[in-house]
This record gives sequence, C-alpha cells and structure tokens, in this order.
Amino acid sequence: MNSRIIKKYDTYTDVTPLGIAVGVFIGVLMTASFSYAALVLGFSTNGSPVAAVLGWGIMRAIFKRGTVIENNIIQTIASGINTSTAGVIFTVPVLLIRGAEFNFVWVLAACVAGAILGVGFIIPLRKQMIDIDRLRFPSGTAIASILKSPAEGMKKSKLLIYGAALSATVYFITRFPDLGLPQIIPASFDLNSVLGLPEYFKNVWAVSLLSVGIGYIAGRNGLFVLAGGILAYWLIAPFMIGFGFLPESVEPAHAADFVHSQMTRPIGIGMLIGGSLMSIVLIVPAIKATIRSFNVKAIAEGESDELSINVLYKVIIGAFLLFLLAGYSTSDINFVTAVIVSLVSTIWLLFAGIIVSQATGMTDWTPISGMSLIAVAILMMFLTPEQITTAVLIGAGVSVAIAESADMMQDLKTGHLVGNFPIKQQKLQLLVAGLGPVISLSVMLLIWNSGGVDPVTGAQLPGFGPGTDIEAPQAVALGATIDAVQHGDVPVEKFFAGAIIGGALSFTSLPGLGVIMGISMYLSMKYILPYGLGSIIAIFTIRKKGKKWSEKWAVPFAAGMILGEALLIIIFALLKVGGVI
Amino acid sequence: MLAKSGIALIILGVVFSAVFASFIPIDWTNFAIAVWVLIVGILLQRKGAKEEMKSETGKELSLNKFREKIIELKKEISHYAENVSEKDVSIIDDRISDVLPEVENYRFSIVNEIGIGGYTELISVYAKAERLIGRGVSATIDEYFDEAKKYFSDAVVLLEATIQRIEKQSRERVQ
Repeated sequence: MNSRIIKKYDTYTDVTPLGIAVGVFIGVLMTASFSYAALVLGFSTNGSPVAAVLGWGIMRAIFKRGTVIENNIIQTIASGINTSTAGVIFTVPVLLIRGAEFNFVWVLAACVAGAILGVGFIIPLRKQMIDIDRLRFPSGTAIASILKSPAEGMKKSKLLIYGAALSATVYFITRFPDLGLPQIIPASFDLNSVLGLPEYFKNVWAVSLLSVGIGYIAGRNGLFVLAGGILAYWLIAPFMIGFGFLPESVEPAHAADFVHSQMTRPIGIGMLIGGSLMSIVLIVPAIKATIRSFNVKAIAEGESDELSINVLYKVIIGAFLLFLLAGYSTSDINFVTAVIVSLVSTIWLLFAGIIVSQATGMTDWTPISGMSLIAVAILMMFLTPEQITTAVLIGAGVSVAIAESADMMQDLKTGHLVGNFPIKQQKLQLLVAGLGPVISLSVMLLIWNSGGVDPVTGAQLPGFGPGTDIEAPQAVALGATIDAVQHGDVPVEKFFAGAIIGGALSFTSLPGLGVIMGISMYLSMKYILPYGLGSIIAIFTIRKKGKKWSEKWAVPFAAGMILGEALLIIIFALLKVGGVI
Repeated sequence: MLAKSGIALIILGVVFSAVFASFIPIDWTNFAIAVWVLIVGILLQRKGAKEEMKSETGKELSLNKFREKIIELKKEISHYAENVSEKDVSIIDDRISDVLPEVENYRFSIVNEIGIGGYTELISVYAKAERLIGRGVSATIDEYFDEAKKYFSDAVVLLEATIQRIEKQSRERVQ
C-alpha cells in the first residue's frame, strides 16, 4: 500500500537517530510555545495527540520514512519534553512576581530532578496499572488509534478525519468572536436560562467535542465522574446554599464559588488521596507479585522489556539529594529542616505520582494543580514565610514530576497497544525529560526580562504578573494559596473527611471508585457534563452494537474528535500570544 | 438483591457523608453515621456480587473461559505467525481485535477464584504476549512481514505459557 512511497528500514525499527531528532525538535517547539501560552492563558494542554500527528507528518512528508512504533517513540520524546511546561509555569513565576530569591541553577536543578523522578516513579506503576489493572488511559488509547489509522484502511482513516474535522470545525465556530465574526455557537451554554433554575445550580456545558471524545473512550468510568459532579454541583451546592448553611460573610453572588473552593473541592482532593492510598493498600499482594516479575526476562527479546526496579531506587536517592541541595542553597534554612523538607517532598511525590497516574488512567484528567498546591501547602508547614523560595522551588519539582508521571503512563499505554517495549520508552523519556524545564525556564526568564528597567529607579520591571499584559494566572493562584497557608487557612479537616469517604469507596467492587468520584468533585462541572455525555453515548453504543464494534469504529472517530480540537486549541493559543487575535 | 441493597446504601452513604463533611465546621456525628451506612453498603454489595457470580451458570468457571479464549487467540495468532502478507495490511487489526479477550471482563471473577497474586502472575505473561501481538500488527501495517511473523511467533510462545499458568492455577485450586 505505502511501500512505493515510504522508504523501508532494513529491519522493523522503533528507535532511530532521525526519530529522536524529530521528537526533540517537536518537543522543543511545543515546549517553547506552550510555556508562553501557559503564562498568558493559565492553562496547558495534552500535547501527545498533536505530537503524534506532527511526528507522523514530518517523517512521512519530509523524510519519506516512519513506522507506527517509531512514531510512538517520537511522540513519547516530544511529549516527555513538553509535559514539564505546566509544572514549571504554574509554580516558578510566583518567585519573580513576589520578588523572592531566584537562583536559576537551583530552580533548574529542582525541576530537572522532578522530571527524572516523575519518569522513575512510574516504573513499577506501568506494570500495575497497564498490564494488571488494565486501566483505560483514554488519551493513550486514542493516540494508538491515531498512529495506526493512516495505514489501516480507508474506512478507519476517514472516521478519524471526520471526527477531527467535526471537532475542529465546532471549536473554530465557537471562537468566531475572537476573529471579529458574529457568534454562532457559544463556547459554553447555560441550560439554567432555559430551565429557570437558580444560578448556583451549575448547569453550564462547554461546547467541547474533545471532552465528549475522551468521555466516550473512558466508557463506564465516565459515568462515575458524572455522578461525582452531580453530587458536588447539583446536590451539595444547592443544599448548602438553598438551606442557608454558608457563613454569613459569604455574598450570594459568590456562594457557588465558595461551596466549590471551601467545601466540595477540598473534599474531592481528600477523596483522591484517600482513594488512592487505600487502593495501594488493597493491591499490596499484586505489587509484590509485580516487583517479583521484574526479574522475569522477556522470552521474545532475550532481555528484560522493563526498566530495572533498581533504576527507581537510584532515581529516588538522586532526586532526594538534588531537592536537598536546591532547598538548602536557596533559603536561609538549617540543614535538618532541609533534610525534612526534601524527605517529605520525595514521599509526597511517590503518593502524588500514584494518585495522578490512577486518575489519568481511569478518567484522563490529571489533577496536577491540586497535587502541586498540596505539595507547597505541606512544605509551608515546615517553613517560615521567609522561606517561600524553598517551598516553591521544591513544589515546582513535585509539580513537574507529577506531570511527567501522567504523560509517561499515557505514552506507555499507547506503546503497549502498538507493541513498543517499555524499556525503550522509559530510557528515552529519562534522557530527554530534563530538557523541558531548561526551555520553559528560559522562555519564562526571557518574558520576565522583556519588562525592561524602570528609567528612574533602575529596578527591573515585571514582564508578567498582575498589572502586566501577561497575567500568569496559575502562579498568582499559587501565591494566594501560600498566603492562605501562612494564615492557617487550609481546610485540613475537609481533606481528612474526603480521605475517609474515598478510602471507603475503594473497597467496592469497582477499584478506584474513590479516585474517580474525587476527581469529579474537584473539576469544573462545565467539562464534566460533555465528558459524561460521551460516556453515556459509549454505554448506549456498546449495548446496541457491542464492544468490538465500538472499539473498531467509534474509538477512531472519538480519537479524531480529541485530535481536531487539541490542534485548534494550540493554534488559537499561538495566535493569541502572537497578538494576531 | 443483596448487591442492589448494597448499592442503594452506598449511594446514600456517599451523598450524606459528603453533605455532612461540607458543613463548616464538619458535622462529625452525622458524618460518622453516614460513613457507617456507606461501609455496610459496601459489605453488602461485595457479598452480593460474589453470590451473584457463583449463582450465574458458568461464571464461576471464568478461569476456564479465559483459558478457552486464550486458546482461540493462540490459534489465530499461530496462523499469522506462518502466513501474513500484503492482503492482511488493512484488516489485521480488526481481525485480531475480534479475538483478543476483554481481560477487564474476567478480572474480578479471576481474582475471586485465584486471588490477586495468582491473577497477577498469569496476566503479567499474557500482557507481554498482548504487546507482541500489537507489535506484530504494527509491523504488518508497516509491511514488514518477516518481522511480523517473528513477533506473532514469539507471542504464541507467551500465549502457551499463559495457558500453562492458567492450568497450573486450576490444578492448585482443585487441590
């Protein structure tokens, strides 16, 4: 079919110098642009589907080469570099905005340590969550479909293209106002205006076929996400507001936000933590068997197809030392406090990595900001307000690590489906993971320095933050959290109660139920609704047509919907930061 | 019936525990009661699920059913290990998807039969076979037919190893 156009390798190859170069090229490009966009807009997006398509396009169109497994490696490398963007940009800018001490070398060391830790920590989790627990990892599944579809026959390719075209078109139309065109489809719509329900009854639907597509691939788990959303937004919020259980100081206009930020969100985070920790306890026998199985050699390859568990131990020690050095060198803290803070961070990172991987595997949602905020909040318990640099620095490392864990698991799921050996993906991601923080931090400093110098005082003017064109909203939110922690305003008891509920739910026949419901109480209802709709469509389709039919025909279409909107999100983000729109 | 009652109690327990946890300060007394309802619901649901599984014809033999599916898969893959060509490029993924067992459907019952350790032991080997099958499919799609045959052939060895592990687990279960 394609042999006349595409040059073939001598043997079936996954890792090639050209593939690595293309992966690094795409990764660097995406990291630079995503870093800028994350500073301006306050969000980052999963770059894996885009990296997969770009990698395939570059290899096929320019080099006339490429295999399915090579494209998976390219996408692993590119997203491995790019994925640290959120971790860096959501945390580190707060140091510059607040005028705290900023030492590039140590900030970089902490972020690189985090990136390497993130990849290392999921070595045993891959086997557990992909091979044994059979978690879905919706994006990973979608990317496998994207990678295989161009060569897999016209019908599937067409479905993928139709899905991508539909979601891209819908997204494009929702952005008409940005282009100076009349609004035809809004970016979201509020059903309350039709149903006549009160404002605090959150019924806003994002017009996002990407969310519908992810919900479709998540399947039944998506229904539990929807259930958690209904509990938080349609039961608890109306109950607490309607019956007047809020503090008197809360203004009616802010009641719904208060319930989310002070009640349901912290309970959701607690459920995430409790659900994950209890899941770990329940699967101890499986984890033991998993670690034992690391010694089993792959029959086919004559070598282990998994990175040795010893790498994990080395990574933990190395990262702990880097955290220690970075923490000790940047604030006026004594050595014992630095040891405690580094130890606590490393342990929290282990738990957060598991929590995030499980949440991503079941729902595709990665609670990075929540886990990072908790990391900083925990660290601030051991530090004084003057030692904010250490807290943010190590918090950034933890944040980067969490993002890397989630991304690596998605890539490994894709690798499993297309037949790549995890050891190669893990080694490559370990090699390139440190590049992301270098680029993100460089872009961030470049923008900061673009603020110029005050002609009167000669002081550096901020290049981003409040009062500038680039607001860095996530870093500002982190600053607010630090203030809250310093004033003792952390809803610890809500976390604790949530952990009890999440832990209990882990004992049901559906493993991870506590995690799924926790994440939905933590997220915005606007996206839960289309996501839940996707899951309902999946269940309906599977009942009517069967699971095989769904996997064969509907999943490529859903993957296309994810791809189309993801591509457009990035294009519009670039247009916005470029000042075009 | 037991499972359904359990699910009803779980829903009540979750809703009320979350509501009482939302109060500022938390209403710990009612929260504790709601958590107890939740726990009772979970116990009933688990017990009911186990009983339903045993009472439904054939479901208690899920390990055997899984073995039959692996044998069927091995037969199909053995065919491709010997003969895969250009005509298979656009259809192989669908063909193999049709015979790949949906492990998640068997997971709960297998764990109940042989424990999580036993399940982990056999599924670890099967997962390796599954990955090699995926690699074989990718190689076929990319038109590397000789390599595809080799991957399928290696997968057959692993599928056979999976079957042997299932049989070993079945024997141990009988003893």
